[in-house]
Amino acid sequence: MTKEEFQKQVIPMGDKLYRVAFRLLGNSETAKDVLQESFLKLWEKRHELSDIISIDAFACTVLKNKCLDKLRQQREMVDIDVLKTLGNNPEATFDHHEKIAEIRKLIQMLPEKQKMIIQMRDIDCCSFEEIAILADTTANNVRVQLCIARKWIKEELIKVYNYGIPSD
Amino acid sequence: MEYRVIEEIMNRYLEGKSTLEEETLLREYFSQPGLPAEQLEMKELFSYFAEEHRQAAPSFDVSADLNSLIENEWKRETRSRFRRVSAWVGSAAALLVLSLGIYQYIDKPEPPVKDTFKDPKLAYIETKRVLLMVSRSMNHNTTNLKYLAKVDESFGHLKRVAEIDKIVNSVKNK
Repeated sequence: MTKEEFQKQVIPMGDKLYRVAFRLLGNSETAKDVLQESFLKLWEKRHELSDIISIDAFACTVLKNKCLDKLRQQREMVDIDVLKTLGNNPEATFDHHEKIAEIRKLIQMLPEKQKMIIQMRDIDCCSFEEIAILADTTANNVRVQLCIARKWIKEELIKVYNYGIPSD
Repeated sequence: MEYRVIEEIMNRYLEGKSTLEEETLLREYFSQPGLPAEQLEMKELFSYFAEEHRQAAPSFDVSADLNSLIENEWKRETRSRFRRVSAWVGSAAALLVLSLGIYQYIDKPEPPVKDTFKDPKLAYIETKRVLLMVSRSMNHNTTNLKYLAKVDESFGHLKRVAEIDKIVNSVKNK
């Protein structure tokens, strides 16, 4: 892969990968460092990238490993199930809107894995395959978990809305 | 967009079967004003996702940052490759020059004797002149050598001493 091909095919993935790193690490500076380290690694491997079927999945694996390395360095929990999530930081996502705050509360109530999966899909727009790599599971399981989480949130929201609407 | 299409995508969304493209359509649909009241909870859900997406946006230009990272890395690699190649070429050139030098030194043929005179007669005269000059310098100061003859003469006198020795010996024997 030439420099131009790399810039055209790999660098556009930077925005999404940054979001993933930010979600896994919960810190923008560390996320930026990990992103750069991951891209240097991808650059080193650029001659092999043309033979890889899914560059997205490969990039996700590299990023995930770099995130885990960083967390090990910081002597934090290694298990991806208990990685910090953006939602755990209420200050970063503080919203004045009451309903939005309600949704945030609901998402926080989800089991850790479902919470991470729905955030990566509906906020970070990751593919099922990417989430499967990041959450150490299968793409099919990602769909199942998403289904459970989305349906539960919808039901809970309907409850909230119904309570909120004054009955005549 | 048709409500029926959205409803269909919405069902797929809830089943976890919608694609990223379909979900983009949902996001666009729910971002518009004036939606039916029964869709309000989903509108709020999608506006929450959009808000979170904005909040988690990088505070720097990711593409520009990564492009400059890769450009620098590429320049660094090119420089070190150039240095490596120059070192090889330099060593090869030095070796070549050294080998040529040694070859020249070892295989240098003796320069052929060149004639300095075209006319043989003139050459003969000149050679004779040089030889005469050499012989003249060799004969120079030979007069001092006559003293050596005197040393020889003195040795002649010593022979008489030897004769005395002979006579003394014969007397002893008798």
